[in-house]
Amino acid sequence: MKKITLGAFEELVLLTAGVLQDNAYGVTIKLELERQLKKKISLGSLYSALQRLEDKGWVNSRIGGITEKQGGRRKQYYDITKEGMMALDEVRAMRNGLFNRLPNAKLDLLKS
Amino acid sequence: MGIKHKNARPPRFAKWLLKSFCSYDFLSTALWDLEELFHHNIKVKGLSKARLFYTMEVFGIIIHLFFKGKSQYSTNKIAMLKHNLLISIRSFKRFKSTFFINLIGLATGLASTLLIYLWVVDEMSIDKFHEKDDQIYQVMRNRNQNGIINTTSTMPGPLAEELRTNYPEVESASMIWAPEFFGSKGYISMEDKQIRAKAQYVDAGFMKIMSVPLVSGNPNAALKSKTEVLISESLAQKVFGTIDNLIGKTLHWNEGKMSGDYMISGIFEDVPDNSSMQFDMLLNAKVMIDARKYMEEWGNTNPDVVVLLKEGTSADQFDAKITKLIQAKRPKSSGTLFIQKFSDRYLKGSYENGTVSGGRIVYVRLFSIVAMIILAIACINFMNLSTAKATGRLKEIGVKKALGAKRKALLTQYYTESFLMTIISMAMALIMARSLLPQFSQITGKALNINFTSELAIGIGVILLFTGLLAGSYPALYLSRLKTTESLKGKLAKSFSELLVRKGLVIFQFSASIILIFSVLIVSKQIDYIQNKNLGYNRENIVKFDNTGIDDSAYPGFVSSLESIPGVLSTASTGHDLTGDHGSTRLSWPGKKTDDKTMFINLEMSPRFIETMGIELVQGRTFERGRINEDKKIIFNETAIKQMDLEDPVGKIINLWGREKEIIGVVKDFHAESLYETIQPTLIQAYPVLNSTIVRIQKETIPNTLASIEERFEEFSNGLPFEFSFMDSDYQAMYQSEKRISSLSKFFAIVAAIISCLGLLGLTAFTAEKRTKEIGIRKVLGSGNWKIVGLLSLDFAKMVLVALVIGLPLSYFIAQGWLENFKYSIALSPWHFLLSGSIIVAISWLTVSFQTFKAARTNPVDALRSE
Repeated sequence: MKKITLGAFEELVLLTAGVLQDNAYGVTIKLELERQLKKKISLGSLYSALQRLEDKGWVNSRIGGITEKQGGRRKQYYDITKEGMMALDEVRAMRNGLFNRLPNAKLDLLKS
Repeated sequence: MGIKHKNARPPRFAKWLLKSFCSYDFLSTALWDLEELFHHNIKVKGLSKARLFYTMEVFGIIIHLFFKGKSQYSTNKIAMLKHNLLISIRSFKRFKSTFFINLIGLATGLASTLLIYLWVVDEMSIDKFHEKDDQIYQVMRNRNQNGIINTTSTMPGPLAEELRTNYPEVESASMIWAPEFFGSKGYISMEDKQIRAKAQYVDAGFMKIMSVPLVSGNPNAALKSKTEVLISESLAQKVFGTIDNLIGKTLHWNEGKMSGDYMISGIFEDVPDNSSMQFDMLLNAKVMIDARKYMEEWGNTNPDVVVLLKEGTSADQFDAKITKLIQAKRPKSSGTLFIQKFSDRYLKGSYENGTVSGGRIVYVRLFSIVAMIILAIACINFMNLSTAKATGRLKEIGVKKALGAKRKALLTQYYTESFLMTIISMAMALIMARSLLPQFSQITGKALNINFTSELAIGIGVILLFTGLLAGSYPALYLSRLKTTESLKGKLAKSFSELLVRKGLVIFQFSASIILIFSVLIVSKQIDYIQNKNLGYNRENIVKFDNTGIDDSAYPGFVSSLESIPGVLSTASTGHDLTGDHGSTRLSWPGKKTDDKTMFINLEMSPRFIETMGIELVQGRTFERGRINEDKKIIFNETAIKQMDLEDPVGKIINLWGREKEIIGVVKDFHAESLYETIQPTLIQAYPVLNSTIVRIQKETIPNTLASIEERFEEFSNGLPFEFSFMDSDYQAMYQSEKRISSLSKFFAIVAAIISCLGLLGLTAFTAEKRTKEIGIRKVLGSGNWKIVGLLSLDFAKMVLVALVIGLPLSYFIAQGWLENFKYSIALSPWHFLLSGSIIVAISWLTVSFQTFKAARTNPVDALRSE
């Protein structure tokens, strides 16, 4: 079976969803991401990332704040799952591993 | 702010769009987020931005659904859209030639429309940039002269002051003497440099009325005193090489009696291109009044006057209030005042019987109509070719219908196709328009740009929507209506009305092309006529230049120096050029009736003017140089003598401005104004020196002679450079707008004809293809090539003939209407009709024959082999 991968943008969305804990839904994730990345993010790309994450089983969605009106609106919250945390951890471990292998000469570039 | 927009609603269109593309579950989620974001944005960025962001987010969501979304999140509309696009692209590929004909036609049409749109938007923007545009009005005056009402913008000197002090509605008022008033002849002298500049004389209120942003200096104190001057950034650069630290410096200004040292009190941003007033210096109007004391009286008129009305003032009431103002001050006067919005004057600057009767707005409307016609012609190609091709797609429609496609689904499909086509064409049109823009700017005399502003986006959006809907309308309605069984059988019921519509559309295209071609012919003939008409004088090989810089006392020396140049035939000094806008005056003569209010054009010229210009003398003599008392003599044209009803005019005494003058000669009529005017009674008075010089040069020696004139000029001009023009090019400049219209209409007529022919090409190809078998059988039975060509061409020939019958009479009325504007115009002759008719017949026949010959020459075996 092909390994399920975590894209760079997906990773950010997943992290943010985790950081926001119980209050992670479209708007909060978008605003938090925009604050962190200092650039505009469209809801469209956010939704498609969240939908992909949900398909992979890394977030669960739950419904809240339903209005009674016909064609009403509802909040869809996203909670990070255990598998999601594992995926994040795996990516971080790989990154850290690579980072630790950077030679000192390259690290010195940061200081200059 | 939050409270103010508590009930603000997101844009309905965007919401509707979202509802039609998102599945129910996803929709409710997206709606919540979008609405929360919307209210957040209202607080942070304001309502209009929030609405814009909302719409953009919706588009973003739909695009994601379209390209990446899973079907569970979207309605099947996304799937249908994908399907329709796929079918459209396949049909483009299948009918490649049709696709290219449509593409080229629509793209050319759209490019023309875009260019016209840019031009119209630019015309409409003139003078609209002033912040208080809504409150700025210009005072205008009607004068009754012999029953004809003349409308002018010149006002009595004290009017602005009167309006400022005694009318509470007026926040501010200002006189304006535009630089052109003195022929833009002033210049700045700075050390040894002489720099020409355009000075406008205004009141301090001008800065409050118009938007003239200062780069440095205090706008509230500007122009309060007579000794200060404001200059533009680019003039400052020219004079001082910098725009910094100039406040308080003085510069020396030379312009007649207004010459002197002025202190710079501010630098303003350069006047934008879309301003009808162009100046690069502002001086206090009091300087002007001081130089011309008589301006303090109500009886003399000179400056323009603009007013800034207080916010909320009714312009109509104010208008009514000031109507009789001049008569109240000066009972003898017949002038009445009215106000016109300042920014309207550019487009609506013509007056008839004292009311606004048009102006440039006529051309704006005209070209908007032309744009729509061209676009319609291009859309018709699409309509005709799509319905014609429908036969090839009958099975597709039949199968869809049999599988349960509703009419609406088919409609959507064809509209998708037309919109896709339009969008592709628009992309091409933008490229075309962009590459044509330099030439187009040159023709229109405007610096036009395609800047992707929101306004242009809206304009393009509207054009897209209009074109897509129009082009798609007929195919969509027609094809979706077909019966399932018949279309499956592959038979297209040939209803009479359907053929009629298609033919009617072609006839419309060609009628429109005929009208455009005919108009082009007439416009260019009329312009030729104007340029070559005998004006009663010879305007060739005459050089004209200003006398600025030459002292009056040195002038006779300058003249004899000029006349000693071998190539110079004759010189004279003139106070007027012969391109119009002279002052006119009344005078009295023996036997004048008391109610006679004849106005005479007043030409002030030096002796030898008549000889230099080549005006023909009928009786008496002309002015002579050096002869005494020439200032007490006068010369008239024939029309004037006729008007005064004088017999043996030479030697008679008339009275002009309270002084007696003897008639010494009569000259043949000549045109002293544009050909929009008839020849008026004209008088010529002699003065030794006036403000410009004309020189007639021997044609063969022009370059050498010009060089010598320049040398002599600079000897006398105190360092001012020699700037000259040829009189015939000045004359042509007078008809510049007609020339522009002529080249523009030529351009668009060609476009219209090309697009129409493209459509015809497509239709013929289609017909020839449909009748392949018939042609094959006819050939097998012995029909010749020419017979078949004739057979195939007959239908189209009929359509073109009908178009001629409709188009030519219409052209006649349109052309006649335009020519009536000129007092001297060409007569429409059968020739013109014949020529434009044959152009259309020839090009349509060429188009058709290309296809018909190809069809006629195919081997019948190929045509009949397959079944």
